[in-house]
Amino acid sequence: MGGLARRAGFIESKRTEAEKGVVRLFVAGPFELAAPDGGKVPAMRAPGAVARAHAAMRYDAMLLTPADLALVGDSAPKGLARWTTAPMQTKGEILARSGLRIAFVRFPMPTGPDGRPTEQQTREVVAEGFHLRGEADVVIGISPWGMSAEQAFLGHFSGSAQPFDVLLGGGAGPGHGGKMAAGGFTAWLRPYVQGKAVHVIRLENIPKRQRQSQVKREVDVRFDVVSLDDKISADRVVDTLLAPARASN
Amino acid sequence: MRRLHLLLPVLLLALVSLLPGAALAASSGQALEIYYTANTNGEYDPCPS
Repeated sequence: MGGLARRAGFIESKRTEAEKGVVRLFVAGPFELAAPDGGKVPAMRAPGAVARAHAAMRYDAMLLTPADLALVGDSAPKGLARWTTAPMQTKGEILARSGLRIAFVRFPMPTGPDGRPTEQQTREVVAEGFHLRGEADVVIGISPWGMSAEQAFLGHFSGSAQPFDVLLGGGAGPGHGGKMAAGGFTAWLRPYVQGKAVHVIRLENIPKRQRQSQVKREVDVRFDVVSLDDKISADRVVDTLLAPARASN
Repeated sequence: MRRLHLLLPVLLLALVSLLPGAALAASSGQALEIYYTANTNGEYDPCPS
């Protein structure tokens, strides 16, 4: 639980510490509240408090799975409510930040055999990505599909046009510190277990990248991982919100 | 007339700054940083059925 308060402190410091020419977005992916395998997680001790803590972090985008929603309950706190819609449907939207248009596509929960996405779900995600590519400078996918399905999905696009500049993954399978996939086109990231670090992807020269959309982009992408250790101060508001969770230990 | 000569370069600069190319040049170099958290688990099966 201490990690969540430190995460909030880190996010707030990055939100207030402006860097000229840099747009910062804060995104929470699948299973922030629940475990991908349905196992016990700390949030189960006080799901309401943990949900309010996540709401206080004011993410720019979030993907809540049905398992996350089951913990949040019917009365999602303000700030999380907008992310509780249609976890079974592909959903895209565009955010405007400092002249950049950034598209997010929230992948649906996979409903195919072995927990993998169906062909129809894959087609819908691809179509939404290409549709938003025409309207946005950057297209970002957020996936609960798991490592194996995400890798297979990105593999379809090696050597051909890809709808997503970034794929933010989650769910079954281990995390990694970030890698280029889909023939060097897509920056793919899967966080480490239970959100114990904040992962960072930095994309340079966004307008230039858009004009060269078919060119490999490794040189324009940087990955980083920030460990949420004692060097990072906890956010007082979130720390207070999490007091019930600590009390139930 | 002398005042017009002084104003002319300023007006030209203002006009150039309105061109689309100038706007693009001003926005080039913009970076996007995504701070991301989520949950993962398990071992990766390299040969999924």
